[in-house]
Amino acid sequence: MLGKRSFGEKIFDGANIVFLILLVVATLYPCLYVLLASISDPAEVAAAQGLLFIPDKLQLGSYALAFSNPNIITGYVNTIIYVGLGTALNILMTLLGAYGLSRKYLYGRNLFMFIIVFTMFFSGGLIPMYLTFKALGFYNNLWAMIVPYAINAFYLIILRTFFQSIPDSLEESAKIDGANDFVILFRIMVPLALPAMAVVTLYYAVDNWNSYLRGVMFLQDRSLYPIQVILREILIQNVVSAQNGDITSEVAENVKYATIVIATLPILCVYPFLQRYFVKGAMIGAVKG
Amino acid sequence: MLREVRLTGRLPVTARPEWKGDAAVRTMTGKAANVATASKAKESTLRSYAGFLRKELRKNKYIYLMLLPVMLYFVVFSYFPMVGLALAFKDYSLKYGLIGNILEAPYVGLKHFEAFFAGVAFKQVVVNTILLSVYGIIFAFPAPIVLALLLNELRVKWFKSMVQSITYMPHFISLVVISGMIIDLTSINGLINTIIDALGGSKIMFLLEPAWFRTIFITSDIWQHIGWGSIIYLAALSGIDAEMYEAAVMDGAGRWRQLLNITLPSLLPTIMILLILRIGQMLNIGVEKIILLYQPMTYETADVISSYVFRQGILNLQISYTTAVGLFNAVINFALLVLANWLSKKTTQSSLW
Amino acid sequence: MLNISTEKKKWSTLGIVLLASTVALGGCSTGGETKPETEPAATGNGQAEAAVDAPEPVKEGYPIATADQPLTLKVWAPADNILKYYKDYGEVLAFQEMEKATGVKIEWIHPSAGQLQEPFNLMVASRDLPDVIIYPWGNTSFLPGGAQKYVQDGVIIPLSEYIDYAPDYAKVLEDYPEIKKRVTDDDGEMNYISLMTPELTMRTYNGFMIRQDWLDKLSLPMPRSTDDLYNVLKAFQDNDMNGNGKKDEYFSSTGMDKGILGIEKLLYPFGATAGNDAFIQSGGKVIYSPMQPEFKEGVAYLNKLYQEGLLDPEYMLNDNTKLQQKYTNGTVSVSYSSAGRIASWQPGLKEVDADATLSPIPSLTGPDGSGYWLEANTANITNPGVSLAITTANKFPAETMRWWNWVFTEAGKTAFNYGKEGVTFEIVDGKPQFTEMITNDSQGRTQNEMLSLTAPAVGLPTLNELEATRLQKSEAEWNAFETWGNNMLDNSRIMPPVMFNDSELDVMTSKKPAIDDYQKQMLDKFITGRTSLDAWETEFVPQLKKLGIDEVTAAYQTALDRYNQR
Repeated sequence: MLGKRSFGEKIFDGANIVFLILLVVATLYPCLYVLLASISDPAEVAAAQGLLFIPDKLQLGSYALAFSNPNIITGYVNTIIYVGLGTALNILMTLLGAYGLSRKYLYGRNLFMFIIVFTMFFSGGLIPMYLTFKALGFYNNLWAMIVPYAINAFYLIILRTFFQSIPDSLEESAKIDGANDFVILFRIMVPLALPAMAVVTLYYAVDNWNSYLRGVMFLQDRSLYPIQVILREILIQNVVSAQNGDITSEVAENVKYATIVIATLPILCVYPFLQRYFVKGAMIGAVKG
Repeated sequence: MLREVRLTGRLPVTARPEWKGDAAVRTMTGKAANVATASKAKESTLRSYAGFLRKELRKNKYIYLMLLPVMLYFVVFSYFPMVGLALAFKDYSLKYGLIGNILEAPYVGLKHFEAFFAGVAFKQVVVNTILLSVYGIIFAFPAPIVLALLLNELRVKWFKSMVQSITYMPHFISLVVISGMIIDLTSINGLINTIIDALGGSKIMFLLEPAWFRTIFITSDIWQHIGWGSIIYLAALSGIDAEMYEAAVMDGAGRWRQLLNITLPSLLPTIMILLILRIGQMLNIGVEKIILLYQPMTYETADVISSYVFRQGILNLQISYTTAVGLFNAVINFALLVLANWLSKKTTQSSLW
Repeated sequence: MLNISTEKKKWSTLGIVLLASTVALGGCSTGGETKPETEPAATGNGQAEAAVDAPEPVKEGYPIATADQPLTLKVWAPADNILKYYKDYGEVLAFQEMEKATGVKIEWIHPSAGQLQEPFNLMVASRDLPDVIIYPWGNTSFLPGGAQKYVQDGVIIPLSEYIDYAPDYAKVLEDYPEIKKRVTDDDGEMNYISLMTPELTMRTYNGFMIRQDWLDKLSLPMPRSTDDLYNVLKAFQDNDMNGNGKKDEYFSSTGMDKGILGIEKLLYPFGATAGNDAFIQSGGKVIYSPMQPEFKEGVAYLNKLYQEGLLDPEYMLNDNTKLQQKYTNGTVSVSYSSAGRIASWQPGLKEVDADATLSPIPSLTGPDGSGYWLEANTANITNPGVSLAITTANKFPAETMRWWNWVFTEAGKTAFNYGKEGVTFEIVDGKPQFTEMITNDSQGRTQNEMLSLTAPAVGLPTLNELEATRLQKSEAEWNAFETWGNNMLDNSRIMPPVMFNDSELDVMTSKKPAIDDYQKQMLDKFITGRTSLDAWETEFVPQLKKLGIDEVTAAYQTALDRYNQR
């Protein structure tokens, strides 16, 4: 924040930093625990009873078990494709919808909003969805994972809120200069709404990455399975192995942690790239133009 | 003005009208004007309404074009399957497929709803659900906002970045693992009780006491999601014009004033929209976390609609029953949303429609 | 002025184009054929006509199909065990042998590992039926109305009229009337074929387990009654067997709904039980166990253990994994368990404590030396959770029965239980032994894994042979099976898997969930002492009656009567 810091403000700053450090510790704890548990001996994990511990011996057995499943590579590749294509479609559709619905002068705007919000509450259920999508040809192929999930109403509303906060004068002056709505959207509005777009991109990317139900319901070919389905299978198979006595339950438990790390690490790498869009002052100068 | 109109096919901004609704009389100056008054005959009103529609479509044709695939998507992928809601009023039978069921299965009216309402624990689970949601709104909803504001106050960039990057991570850990941790931490020999013991208090078996359930549920919620939830507020904060702050400082405003007069009002639309949507989730307490943390002795505070229906379903597998309960939830939730939307519109001018 | 109609045309064209492209994009690479590909079956006189006009299908003999008259069946089956390594069951040795012998080709459809009900429900709802479905047809908690409902609703067909085409299977039913009773419904129809485990010691995979090494260290004999157990638990604690200075060597269990090793099992020695399956029967009469004085006795015992700190104070929060961790940490000494776990939990324990040994407790009786065994699984001479049914979409039901019948022929039994001689097993001293391929796989796969990839009798509706089961299990595991099997207490009180008709189901669905919830809450409250046991008479039983237990009991009674008349 700008301005001189008084003494009171310095106290506040100090307290703020302390509080945030505590928060970091509290939120880092579970992540470290999961990481440690995945590379530690199961007996030590049992002994630790939830507390962080320094492992005596490190072992990569749980990862070995997880990766011993040959389907994991195809799973990764498939998911990367689904996330890439899917998120691109998501952003495009959501942009169009969010911008269009943010124009206050649009006749029917409220009706459209009502129609969209209504779908957030009322759904026919899994079976009608399954039958509809299947009848349209969205079954057992790449598009089944992408097209039926093209728009999330919640995210559309968020993006719309951001578009609404951009001053009208920008649009007006652009129109006076002869620009049509598409040009305005892509040349002017999008650059201004980058923080919101980054957030919504992140949301969609994470949703696509985590998608499990879609894969199980609409894919029959194992070669099309995304990573989450494979990871769930790995977990189940290890639980069964444990029941059969092939591996101990604790090892099966550790595989659970390993699968979390495997599933989450890639997404954690995406966030830092998007973080730079949350930079203050992206709007400066635009209004003046 | 004429030249502008010919070039762009549009009126300059100042001259463009706003349609205010059926009952109001629309008046306009300028070339592209059609006047309809309430006193005209119905047929010509209809015709002029159609004309009005055509004008609007033509005027904003690109916007409507943008919305076309979007609305199409919702119609095809959300509204088509919605016919399944009819199953809530029928006795689902395996004899027919889905369409067969909708058309031919016996109509039973409100039978499934009555079964739900008549359940012994109905009142209890609804109350528990609402209480958990309300506590969530009071405590868990503001938490990410507060975090975003605190982060905003930081001047050291790398620290801010680090805090952001770490605090959002627990969001990705699966509920099964988080619940396991909660059980460990709150167990009789767990971390929390050890601290209590060290401070001289008496140990509490947290997850065995109905009185503690809500606290644990909400607190762990905040713990897991505060970082992820703050992302959107940070994005909103980054969009605030820095010049406003400069001006405020020149007027002698301190940080607190700046917060009240600039930051919060700028965040208000985002906050209100998210709040409205959250109120629309009032009856949706997810079943997974509840099932992992509860056990029969804590049913009286922990049992919510979703977990109750889950246990019923272990015996039933009745598609009609679960559809009916889902519909009930949806109707109540939606009504609450409409109410929240209306209130917000009246007080803060932010609303969904 | 712009021409309105051309505008309109432009939009509608665009709209249609958009919609069409979406559908086309999705539609052009549609996978998943939905029609079963069956072709005319062989008949005795070599006609290759459509099956509809064919003369009476051949009753016996293999092969069923030949190159001239091929037959392909579409089969939906869970295959969690093999999906890690194989695409489908077609790669499994036993099925390859089956194809060689019968000539029938199979198109397998497997749901993703861990998914069972959802894919099944979707398949049935969309009426996208294969020829054969392997599913828990006999498990009434998956299918409350029983497989009967699916027959009535036109999903599967009854098998009784085709039994002639499966003579080897029919013989098994003759040899074991109890099996026949289990796969027949109340109307005398057989709707599915289940996995069969005729010998008792093949099914006794659950029982109590104890830290043998601690018993040995204190020179204590194996506890055989609940009084013995009490003394042993006390001795473990007084002697601080885990050496941490605290009295925390417990008897434990999982929470009733959190794992299958629940607290209600320790009521068995008293002849009582609890939880979602708390109905027992005595001489054909249905009894709700929690209303019996035996229940009160058992709960009083558990309460005593709890008050004296001998019972894990947080047992209701345990799941199976937590329970194992507590064993590893030495905070649990006795619990209910399974044979597989005795084998699989031991290595983890041994890492922490090299002397640690887990042993099965042969049986536990009540204080007077008598006891009952109420674990339903043990009585299951068939496993209803693994059953095969023929769908209404199947155009060759007779051939299908002949096909699956092969599993019960000598060749079939050998293939599914042992595999192929010379490849997966050898005869040594007149008895089969698994070869190195199974026991010592080059890729490090375990014996169980290798068997599921070659001779999967265990996971399919086959006849499991005692000798094969013995071979499959490790020594520790088989020892548990036999110990529990040979010391089985009176198990005549177990409620058989009855089937409910519609009116009984109505009573159950409206009343039983609330009764179960209440009973489970009160059980925990009684055990932990939060509610005094005096309330059993004054509050508990009356409240159960108020919730309608008598009507539910009556529903069970009529269902049991029908079962007994099969």
